[in-house]
Amino acid sequence: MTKFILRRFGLAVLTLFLLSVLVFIGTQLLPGDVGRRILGPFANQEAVDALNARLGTDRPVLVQYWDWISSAVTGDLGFSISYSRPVHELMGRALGNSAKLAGLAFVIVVPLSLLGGIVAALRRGKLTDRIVTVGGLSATVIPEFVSGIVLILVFAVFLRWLPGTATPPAGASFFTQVRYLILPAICLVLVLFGYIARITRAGVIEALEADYTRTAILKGLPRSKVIRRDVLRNALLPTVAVIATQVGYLIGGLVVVELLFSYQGIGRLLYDAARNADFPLLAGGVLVVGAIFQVVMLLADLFYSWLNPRLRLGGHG
Amino acid sequence: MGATITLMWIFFAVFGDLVAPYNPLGSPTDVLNRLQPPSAEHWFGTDELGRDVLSRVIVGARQVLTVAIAATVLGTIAGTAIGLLVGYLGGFVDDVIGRILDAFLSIPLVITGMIALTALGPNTVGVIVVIGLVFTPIIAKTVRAAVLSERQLDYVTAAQLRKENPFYILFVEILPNVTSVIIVEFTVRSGYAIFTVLSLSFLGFGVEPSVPDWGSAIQQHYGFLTANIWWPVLFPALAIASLVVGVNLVADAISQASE
Amino acid sequence: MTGPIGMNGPIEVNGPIEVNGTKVSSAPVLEVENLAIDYKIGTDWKTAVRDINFTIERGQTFGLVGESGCGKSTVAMAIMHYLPRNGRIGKGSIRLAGKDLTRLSGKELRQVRVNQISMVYQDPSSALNPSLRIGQQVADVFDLMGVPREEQPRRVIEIMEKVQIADPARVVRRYPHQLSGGMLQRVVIAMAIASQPALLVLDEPTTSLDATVEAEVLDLVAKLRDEIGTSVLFISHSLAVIRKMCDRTAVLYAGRMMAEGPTEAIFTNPRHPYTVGLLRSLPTPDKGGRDVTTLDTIPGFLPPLGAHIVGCVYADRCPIVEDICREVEPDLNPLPGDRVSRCHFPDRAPDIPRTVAPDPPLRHRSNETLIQISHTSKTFMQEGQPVYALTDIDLEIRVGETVGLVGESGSGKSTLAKVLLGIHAPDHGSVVTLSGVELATELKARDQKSIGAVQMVFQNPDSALNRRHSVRRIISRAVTLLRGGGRKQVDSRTKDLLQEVRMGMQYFNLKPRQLSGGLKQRVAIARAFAGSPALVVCDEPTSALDVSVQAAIINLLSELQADEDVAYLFISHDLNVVRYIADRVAVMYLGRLMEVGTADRIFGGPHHPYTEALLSASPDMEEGTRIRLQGEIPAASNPPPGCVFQTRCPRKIGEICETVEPVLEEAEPGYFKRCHIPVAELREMQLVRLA
Repeated sequence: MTKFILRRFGLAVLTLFLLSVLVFIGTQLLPGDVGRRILGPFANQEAVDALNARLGTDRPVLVQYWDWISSAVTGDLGFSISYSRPVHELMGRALGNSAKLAGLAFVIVVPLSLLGGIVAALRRGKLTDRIVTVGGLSATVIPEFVSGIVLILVFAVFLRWLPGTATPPAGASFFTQVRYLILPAICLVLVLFGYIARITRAGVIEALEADYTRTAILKGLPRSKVIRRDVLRNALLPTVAVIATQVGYLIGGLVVVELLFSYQGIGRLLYDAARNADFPLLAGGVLVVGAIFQVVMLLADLFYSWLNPRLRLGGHG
Repeated sequence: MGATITLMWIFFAVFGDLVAPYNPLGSPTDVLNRLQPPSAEHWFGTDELGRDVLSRVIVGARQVLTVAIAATVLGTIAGTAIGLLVGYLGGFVDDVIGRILDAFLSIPLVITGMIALTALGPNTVGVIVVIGLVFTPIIAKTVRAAVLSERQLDYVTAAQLRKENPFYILFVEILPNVTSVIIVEFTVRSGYAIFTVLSLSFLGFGVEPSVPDWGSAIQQHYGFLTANIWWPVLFPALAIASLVVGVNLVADAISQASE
Repeated sequence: MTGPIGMNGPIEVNGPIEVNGTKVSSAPVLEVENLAIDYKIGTDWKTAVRDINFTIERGQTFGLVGESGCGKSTVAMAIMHYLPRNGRIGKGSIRLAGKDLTRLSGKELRQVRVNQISMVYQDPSSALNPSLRIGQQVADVFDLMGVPREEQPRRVIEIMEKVQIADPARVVRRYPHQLSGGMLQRVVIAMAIASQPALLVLDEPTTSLDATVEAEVLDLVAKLRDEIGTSVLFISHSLAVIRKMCDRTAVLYAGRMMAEGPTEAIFTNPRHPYTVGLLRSLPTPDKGGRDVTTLDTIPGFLPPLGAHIVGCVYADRCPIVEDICREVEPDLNPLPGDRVSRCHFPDRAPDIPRTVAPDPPLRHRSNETLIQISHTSKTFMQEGQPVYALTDIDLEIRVGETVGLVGESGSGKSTLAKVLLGIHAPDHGSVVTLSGVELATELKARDQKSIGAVQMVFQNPDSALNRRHSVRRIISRAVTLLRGGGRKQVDSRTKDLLQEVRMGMQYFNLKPRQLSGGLKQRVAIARAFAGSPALVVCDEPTSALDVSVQAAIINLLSELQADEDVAYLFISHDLNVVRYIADRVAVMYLGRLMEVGTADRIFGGPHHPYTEALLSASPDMEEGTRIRLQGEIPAASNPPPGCVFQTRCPRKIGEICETVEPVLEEAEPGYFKRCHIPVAELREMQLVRLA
């Protein structure tokens, strides 16, 4: 088991390393050199060169990469060009905000989609099933900005029940914060719901048709107990694995949602960074996001193997 | 039902210019007419530059569909090729490429798009290439899994036993048995491609300014919502919703049928 | 005999009996009357099974036998009231101790399932919840019976001991994936008998188990049923198993009962053409081998599910069919001896002519060596640990002969085949020669001629043929690569091959999906013969096929061997098939050859102790000669010291077996054994046992 953990961890580190290389290469593709970008097209060349020398952006690429990655590992992600502050400072605050939003979305979507998937599987083929499956599917593919706009139109403009932005006034209470975050959270929920519900449904159906469920029923166990113990226990296992992969879509969604609702989260930050060609912020941001994603996947894998006796204990005893 | 909606939009994409009542690119004098609510002359109203919203919605289908389908085709071809190779060869190649693909997958799609498109500037081909490339690992993964399960079957061993050359095995023996998987992936990814193209254009990446595009239309006009000017936003939004739902219903039906 | 828990002594069939502590009458346990079961295919309900009538008395074991698609499992599921969503009981009644099972409420049904009826079915590894411990799942049954919580652990251990699970305290804490197939099946049986049900339903309970394990499980079932006095409904496709276990039997075909009666009568004096056909197609020892006679087969195909047939459903395949058979469906006509037969002419059964001429194909045998395998070993690395799949194999295959390779799972027989074919490269020092010339160890290094010379027929015809290719392409491609030639020559050779496997041209452009199992296997055989091979490895070629189809394939292989002078390495777990077709036999255990000799010598004896156990495990054997093996097959990564069989050998003579591994030596001309015990002593030992 420990061997498995170590291997998995090593894999995560390796992937992160590859990711950092990709990110760095990506950002190097941005046009122009850094100095020119900061000073603008009218500054004279000497000033640009001096700035480049000072920032270190005239050194060979590999050296720049090494410099960047070694300081990144210690937490120093450089200095943002557009905001003129250390990257990690900006990230810290943004991450906190995004965490609140994502957290709220997750808290809503996970129980909802699990329940939806289970109910759809149990009432397979009937109306409830069709509503959950088709409805979920439809909701998933509608881009967040579309659903976001519809939500804003309905709840903020026409009905005026909820605010149309996500940033509460400073010092707001917990409930007020939730009130502000609920619309963007729903946006995210809509996108995530369909896929998770569908995987859950498939898992439950497979468990329902499994031999061991048949054994349980033929033993004479009441249906509710069979569902709880045999079906759910085995069906929810693969769902755990899937939920983790949804984090990727969640982050992508954050960009759009935060922009739409004027919220200063990590998505907004990355968007601004890309718009402003702010390389340190962009690279640092994507790296952190990638790292978070890897950590979530790692935790999910560990959780899954802890739950699954086959992986936990190994083969024949 | 999904098919009808999708076909309608495809029709508009191809023939939009002929159907649209007004020139979607508008003319300079339109500005006098800006932001008019829906009326008999302009069923969907006019946008901030006075252009007819209905026309722009109709022709907008072309942009979305062309880019999305092209990107999906690119991703499918590349993904299938990689998936086939990796699934068949296995071993070291599988591990190494698998790691690289996983690294790609850990950056959310939209962010990759943003980075790349900032570099490339507003460029339709750029969008196609970027989205296609990002889809490649996902499709490769699915194809690889299908290839792996085919590979275990005895007909592959039988082919090896007659010293069949590897290309024959990959393309003549295995590939026909995975096509159903590929088709399903294609249709599902098309849906996601549309989603991504629109998100990117909403964020302002990758679209040339005057081309009618639903995403950028919304982006340019959503600030007006608080002023109760809802029509330049709602109609493109409805168009988007109907298209994506239509495509996904079709994809879903296809995937159910192949089970 | 001590009574089982809660019972007061053994059951008497005709007296008043106690079951679960209450006296009940001696009425039959199960009465199935006019049962019909429908399936929904597409939008229509089709009747898949009809007119099922039988009765199971107290303490009786009733067998349902038939080939795939006959409906036996469907009947079992109907009795358990667990038909799939697209199935329903169309007509008839199923009465358990008088109560109609089809009309019970949910609660009553559950009560019946807890206390009166239990089921054991084919695949034990999927029958248990993988996320729960064994003990908990067994305890469930006691919980449902109302046994108080504190007492449950004790009862669980008790019942596990009853099914002869060693060290139950440890097993109870395990998860299903940690136990072997045999153990898991015992657990399932334990759960089934815990409530001492009136009826125990067994659906192919031993089909997925190894021969020696199967024998033990069947013994266990017999013992338990005698102790508890439960009635048993035993379903199997294996005539031998049914014959061994059941008092009465019903033979099913295409969803109908063809015959029913006392098992011995049905088997020794069959009164239905289908039963006659089935028995004739079995390669039992009394018929002699392939050089004495061919196997009789049942021509034709099974009618499609739910097809509406006028007259007797077997008419198209029946050798004694008459006009009336196609017009009027026969009833289950009663015959003397408390039996019935659904045939208009049951008295003609003993004189039914053969479908296939009995004369075996003539072949000429040679002593010339074709393949020589020497010092061949194969070690795999699995997660850093070596797995010794093959150790020191020396085997000769002569031109035109059939060498049968037998052994249970883990014996290495498949690995040996793959090494021979070049799919796996053997360890350094291994030598395989073809006609005197050393064969390259890996496929890529072999030339076209050697590749065509050694080919394979696989076990599973569905997997062996590419579902997207036509029959024509499958065979032609092999011809092109193994033989060469232009378009026309390839085509002509393909047609010839199809003819050789007795398939008509109408199959030329069909895809595998459109063919039956037997036809698919013929195509696979045609493909293997594309390059006029000198040796064809047959890896369980008939195991996935029905009994009647198996006979036809065996006849075909036999003919082809005579015509083409090809040698076979015939791998099978079915000893009767091997005995029928093989000239010489090699017995493998844990990667080593235990015994090699002519078929007569190997099957006649005196045997190597492992062979002896294998033979005694076959359900055809008489009572009293069973050799039971203790323990489980050891892991190939950790073979026991000394003789690898010593951990389970019932004939072990002492320390020498534990410390010195015996060498495979020629104990008699042409006979090799790997055992410390001399042949004369083995003869003595084995004679005594047989008395």
